Amino acid sequence: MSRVHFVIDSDLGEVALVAMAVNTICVHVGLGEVQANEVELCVAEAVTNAIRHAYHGNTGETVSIAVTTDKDELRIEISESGTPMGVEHVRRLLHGTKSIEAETGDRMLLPEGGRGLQIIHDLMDEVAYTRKDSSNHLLLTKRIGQDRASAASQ
Amino acid sequence: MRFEESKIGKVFVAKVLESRISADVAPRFKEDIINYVTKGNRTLVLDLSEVTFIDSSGLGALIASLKVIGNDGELMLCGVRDSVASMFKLTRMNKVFRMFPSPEEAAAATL
Repeated sequence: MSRVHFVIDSDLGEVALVAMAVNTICVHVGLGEVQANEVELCVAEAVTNAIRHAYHGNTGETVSIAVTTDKDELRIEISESGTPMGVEHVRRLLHGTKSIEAETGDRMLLPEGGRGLQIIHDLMDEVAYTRKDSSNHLLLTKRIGQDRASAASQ
Repeated sequence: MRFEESKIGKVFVAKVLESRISADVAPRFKEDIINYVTKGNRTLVLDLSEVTFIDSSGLGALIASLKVIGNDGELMLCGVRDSVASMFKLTRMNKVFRMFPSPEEAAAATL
């Protein structure tokens, strides 16, 4: 088992580096390019959410990203000590939403935000969210070696 | 955001010269596109051939721009790489934005 731990300031400008680093780790442990890109996207969405919502966009706080890999899976734990996610958001993260957008054809009705949690739900194999000792932990799991088509191409 | 601007006939083309459209740059990105629109470019082609990553905030900026253009203009995309196209498919935004291989093909589609 290998473990890498990143700690970044709660600054949106810091998200890209950690997301790209996780992508490189994904490729190294045997996830294909498509799945590595998907994990990178989920990490970017999750860390962005932590900064924007848990820390309300304030810099000077800490977001920790711990990446653990073993033979079968890659786990990413994103931790912060900001405001916990609300019940509705946790539900969307864990269970997704069935609402299908972009079917109405009216571009003026399209929401500009609110897709990040659904993306994480759709692309990761397992998602868990817990609050422990005044901090929040989002655990994302991707299995390695599964011959699974990417969610985007289904 | 850095763009390379050009025109094909009356169609305004802005090539994004950044590799990532993510939450940190999305507000500026949206502002820049809306500036193009308010200057009178209601048919706009965005060349994304240099872009390798877009997150939901970047996508949101594109949707916001589309809404500013409204129903009497067009925001088309071209040169979209697979890694970016997959984001549009995942969120079904591939049904909202018209995508073309090149700026010339996008411009031709407006005729």
